[in-house]
Amino acid sequence: MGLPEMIYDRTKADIVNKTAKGYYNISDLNRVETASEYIAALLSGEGYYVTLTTKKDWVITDIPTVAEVQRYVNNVKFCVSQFISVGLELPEDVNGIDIIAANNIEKTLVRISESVQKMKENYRYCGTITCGGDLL
Amino acid sequence: MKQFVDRVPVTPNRYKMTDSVGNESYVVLERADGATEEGTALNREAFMALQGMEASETVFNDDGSITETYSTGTFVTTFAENGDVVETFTATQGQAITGTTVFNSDGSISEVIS
Repeated sequence: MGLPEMIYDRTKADIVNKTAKGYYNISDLNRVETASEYIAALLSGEGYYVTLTTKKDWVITDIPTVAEVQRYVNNVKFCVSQFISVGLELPEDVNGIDIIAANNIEKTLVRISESVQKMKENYRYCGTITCGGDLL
Repeated sequence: MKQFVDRVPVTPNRYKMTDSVGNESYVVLERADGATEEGTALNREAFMALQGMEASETVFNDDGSITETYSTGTFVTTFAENGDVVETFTATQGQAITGTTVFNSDGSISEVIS
């Protein structure tokens, strides 16, 4: 399983024109929950241990509680706090979720994934460092 | 406890070269040694594990031995009748290493790795 294809290019025009990206619905919730779980496993595998509670089976009749949405946001924030800031502002709570925050939530997960990949490309391995700490 | 974090580059393995007259250029270096074994990554996960921060399951066996199971292999501690403590780590790939602690009659302690 890899990172799902995330959506972080929502614009005001999407809301005005009532496009699919202009709405936040169960497909968004399930995608972000799935991505959060993936990133948690990715980070844990590299020593940045992240254990999350996720719900990946939202259905159209579900009504997320305030606590569930807070957990949803906190999951992403916890991934950041356990790893590094990727330079995007995340909402403090459920009231802070607007179009920018919705984009930032998903883009944060993408950037973490990209940063982990670059970090791994930069790893040094046993047998490649000579006496004196030469990293070449 | 020492905190270890990994370097997170924007451009992995990119280096600046400056020649003897001061001309600068940038290169990306990669190993081209045809390695048949990549080796163990020297990263946060490894260094924190060296300090004991590694997930494991511990079982106290009926015969008195202790089995600790890690993602990388199994660590078994046995207590011999002569007082020796024998610790064996067997990696999931099959390599094994054993450390035997011997309490000598003169009061000294020997650690034997095999």
